[in-house]
Amino acid sequence: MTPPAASSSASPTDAELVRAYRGGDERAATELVRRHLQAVGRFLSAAGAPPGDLDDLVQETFIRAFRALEGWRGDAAFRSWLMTIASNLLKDQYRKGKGRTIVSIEDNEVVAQDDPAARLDATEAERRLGEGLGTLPRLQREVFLLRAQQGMDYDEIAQSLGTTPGAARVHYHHAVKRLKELVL
Amino acid sequence: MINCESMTDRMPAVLHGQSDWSREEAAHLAACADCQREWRLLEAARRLGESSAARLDPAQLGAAVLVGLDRERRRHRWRNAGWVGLLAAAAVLVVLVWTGRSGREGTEVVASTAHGFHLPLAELEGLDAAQLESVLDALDAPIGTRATPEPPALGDLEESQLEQVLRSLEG
Repeated sequence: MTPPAASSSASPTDAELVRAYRGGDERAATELVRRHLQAVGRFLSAAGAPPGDLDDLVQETFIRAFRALEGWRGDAAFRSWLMTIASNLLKDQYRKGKGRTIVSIEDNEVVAQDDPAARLDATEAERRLGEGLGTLPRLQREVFLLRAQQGMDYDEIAQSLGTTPGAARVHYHHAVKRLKELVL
Repeated sequence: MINCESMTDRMPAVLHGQSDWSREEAAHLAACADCQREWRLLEAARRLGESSAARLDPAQLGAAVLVGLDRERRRHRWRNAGWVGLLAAAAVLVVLVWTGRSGREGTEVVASTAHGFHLPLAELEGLDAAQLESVLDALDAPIGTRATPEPPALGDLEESQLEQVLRSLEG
């Protein structure tokens, strides 16, 4: 198999990797997963995904993303697009109760990595923040996470969540105000 | 003008290393307890979900994603193949129905054509040899060259011939 995407730099851009995957290079897909896995996992986890479902939800986010690559115009960052899909996935999961069958991680016969130290890393403030986030309306919660956790600007957030930059800014300020009251 | 609202807007960019505090902003943060609480909130938000996400194995998930995509592709192919089979069966059915109908119609056409060429031999029986000869000549002549025969006037016929014509008309 040839290396993913010819690029002048050492590390190909997301757009180059997407082109390589469309051209049949599966290693490009693996690299995109590796690159954005943590961000998607943190977002889903903080947005309320049950810990036991996190693997499957992250996997489903990427499957949906690769399946719908034709719909990615490339004008938004690939990560923002992934967040859009992750947000829609959470919305679908909560609406339907149970989604369609997801390929079980165990099917690949890879032993799950267990990191007790990382698991126990949650501070009291994080725990309270998690609880506080659970009390926010969905849009406020997701705007806050995309801004505070992912560092996205209001334009990107608006594009990801299907709202306007102005509305995203208002949601963010509301969320910060309420979380300060609830958490700190 | 630095105030708490402008600090709220700037905090995420500084937190994620996309920007630095200006001198005025740094001074505001050092003096404002509310902005300090908000900064701690954002630091906690940045860490939120890290422990859960740290469990995720890129190699394992990358492989699982490829397996999932492959299954979807195969399922899609089977679904398409199913549609093609269904369309083919429908096409065969249409052809069978069509050929069956046109076969019946063909038989009817042949039957009606044969009926159309039925010759009223009884009317010819009354003609003498010369008259039959002239009918044959008219039928044998190429189309377009046939002379239109003058219908015989009833007055020209003999009595016995008139009788025969009447009988043939009455059946």
